[in-house]
Amino acid sequence: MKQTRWLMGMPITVEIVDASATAEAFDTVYAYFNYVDETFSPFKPTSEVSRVNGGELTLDKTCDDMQVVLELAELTKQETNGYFDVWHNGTFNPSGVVKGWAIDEAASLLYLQGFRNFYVDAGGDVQVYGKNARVQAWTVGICNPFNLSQIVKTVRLDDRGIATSGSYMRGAHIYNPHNDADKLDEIVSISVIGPDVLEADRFATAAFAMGRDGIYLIESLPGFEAYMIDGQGQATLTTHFQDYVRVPAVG
Amino acid sequence: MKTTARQNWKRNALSASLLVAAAAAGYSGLQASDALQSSETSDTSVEQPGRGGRGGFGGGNHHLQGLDLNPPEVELAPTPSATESTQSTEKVAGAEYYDGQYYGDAVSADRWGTMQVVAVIENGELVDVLIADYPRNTNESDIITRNALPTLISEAIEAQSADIDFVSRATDSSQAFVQSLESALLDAAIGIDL
Repeated sequence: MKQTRWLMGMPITVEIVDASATAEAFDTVYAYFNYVDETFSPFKPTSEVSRVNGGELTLDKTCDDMQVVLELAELTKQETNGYFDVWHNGTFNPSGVVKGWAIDEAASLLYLQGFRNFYVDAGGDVQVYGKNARVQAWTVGICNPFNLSQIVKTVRLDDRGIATSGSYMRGAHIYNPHNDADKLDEIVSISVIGPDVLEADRFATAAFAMGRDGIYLIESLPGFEAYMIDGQGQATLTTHFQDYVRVPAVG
Repeated sequence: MKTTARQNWKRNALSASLLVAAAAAGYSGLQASDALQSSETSDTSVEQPGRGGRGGFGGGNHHLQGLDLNPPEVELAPTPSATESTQSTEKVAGAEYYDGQYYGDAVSADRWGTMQVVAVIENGELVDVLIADYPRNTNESDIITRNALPTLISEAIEAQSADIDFVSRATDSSQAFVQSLESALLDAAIGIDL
């Protein structure tokens, strides 16, 4: 069974291969994402994030899940030498960790219900477990940032997470015509495979913000691989990324 | 940026036609991968909540199939000046929008900048979306320690056709794009660029 619903401003797709899948299992996942949106959305005035920014709520009075997110944010800040920060220009925005954390939690909900073969995809960041309907590792296409209808790389995953950070606006050739040069050196997307989607997303976000150096951060992390695409359509792969790349069928 | 009161009003007046409008404008970043997956029909349902906050989508039946997957190039629009205001007094009978150019909110695309679009309405229809500002990340080069001796491989990206289960892609700035466009279209609906 497979369902897609729009929440948090993005399509969220869940596919459960296990024969025991029920409509209730899907409802549980989407109800969870709805809760996350209500609590962490920077766009909803009643969310805890908005109330912190509005001065109505102090961080120490926020809910337990916010405390978890704050710890993750602090950890990521340390791991990226202070580059990743949920405070930006005086505004609190933990979105950089919330998305991956929420997908990971949603996938755990399904796992705890006994499902073993499924994926949870929120806007292109995905946690997979087990095998697909063909009883193979899940096949994941990495989008061409210059043409989203194309796949530029296909990887096979089981029990791991993948997250992509980037800007497809720039990938769509939107740049300042008076300053063409600043486009040439930039990164349009970086896809990170990690032990789970939370880890993949945290480091994809940080790596993309680092520009060209982001790929070195991933290279230095055990258990992580990345595929980075720059403004000139050149890709850079971490050393063992190819281990995940699907081998083309012979004949 | 606009006032909080204004933004609250906009939150409560979601444009149900946003997805269609965005596709008509030639940009479909949020929808593209779903179109890729749309050939799978069994056990697949696509549904929307009735309404959401900013960054969500309003109701209305739309299908993800058939959207433009090859967005044309978009030129940068001039930065709006403080005195600039576009207002139309004419509205085509039955049309949803007043003619003119409407600046959307400058929307933060996480930590690497802002996205701001301009909706261009002609004969009551959205005919173009210009980009007033787009995310640019800061290039800080000495923030990490290159303690590993990496063996990084480069290759030219090339299109592959593949039998895949799902795709991975970025959403951050496309979300900001949609939010900015949404606010611009709300202005267009009342004919005043606020």
